[in-house]
Amino acid sequence: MLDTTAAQDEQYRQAVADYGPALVRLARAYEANPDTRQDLLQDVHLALWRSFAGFDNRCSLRTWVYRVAHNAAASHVLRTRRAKTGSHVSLDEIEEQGGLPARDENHPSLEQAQILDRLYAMIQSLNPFDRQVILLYLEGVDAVSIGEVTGISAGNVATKIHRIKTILIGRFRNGENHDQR
Amino acid sequence: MTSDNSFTNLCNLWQTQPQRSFQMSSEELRTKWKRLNRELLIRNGTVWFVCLFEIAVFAWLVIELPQLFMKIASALVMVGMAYMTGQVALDQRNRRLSRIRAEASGNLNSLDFFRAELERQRGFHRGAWFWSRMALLMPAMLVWGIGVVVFVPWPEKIAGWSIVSVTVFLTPLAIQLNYLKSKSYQKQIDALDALRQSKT
Repeated sequence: MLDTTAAQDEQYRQAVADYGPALVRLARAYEANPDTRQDLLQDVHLALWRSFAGFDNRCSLRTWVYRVAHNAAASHVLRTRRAKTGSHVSLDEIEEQGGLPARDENHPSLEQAQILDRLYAMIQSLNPFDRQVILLYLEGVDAVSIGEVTGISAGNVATKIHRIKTILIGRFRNGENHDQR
Repeated sequence: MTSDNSFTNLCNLWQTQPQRSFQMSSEELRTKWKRLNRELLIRNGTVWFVCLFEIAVFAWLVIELPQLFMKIASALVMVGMAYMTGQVALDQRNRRLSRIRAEASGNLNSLDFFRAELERQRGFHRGAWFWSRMALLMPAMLVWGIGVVVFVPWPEKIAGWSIVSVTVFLTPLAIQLNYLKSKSYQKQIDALDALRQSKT
């Protein structure tokens, strides 16, 4: 059963060294509950470690890591969403709702932690594919590579990215123009 | 500040946010993998044990019970359980395949992976697997219920009517609920197919 090799361990270590922080951010973006998030993070790492038994360099390490991580996270969403009352929304609905959740009126300053909290809250509410695109784009992955990870056409990814940027910039630019909903 | 600059700042903030690092040691990974496999083994073993135990019990009832309808109902349950045991074996094979697919999930883009998961879940709620479960349970329950109604005196007859009523009422409900569930999965699969075909 444990047909793992030293090479597999080494590839896992290399992947975590390069993309470990991105995996932590991914887990938080998929799971709001800290306890469940830790389970998800462990599942992602286990899936990644196991996956290197089949890694054949046909794609880049980055594409491989993100595919495995997002697939493991998507499985997690499928497993857990029945227990959750809220449903996921699309970028269209986020736009209709006015973008990100409103900030706390008692604390108007846009502190970095506050910005990130609101950003995570918005990402967690998105459907899996919009969520993947926004996460990968925030990690600095280009449109073509996002298409390789997600399976969505590059044109479609570009359209989604444009809309994501519109939503995010409208909400985050300097903070002072934030609308009062 | 331009839009691109604003967004670059946001990306920088995202990528440099303070967070603790996380890594699992080789021992932790192997231990977790072993535990998962052990849990799977125990679960599968339990299902096999329950199925085989029920087959044995109902085989004994076929021999021991006095009335013909009871023997027929027990035989139906026994055949059904034997069928279920076969289904469990098939399900275990599918789970193994699913695990292999998960391990190679780096070769699958998210769209293909997600679609395969949805198809698997849809399959549980409709098609051969669902109808075989219905075909397995309903005749046995009806034979039991009708047999009790016909051959057993009052007030025990009430139990027979209850079994028949519940079976007649629950069957269309179960079919409808499973149909709705499978429809919901199909809707998501169609949305993924549309997303795959969409260029913009």
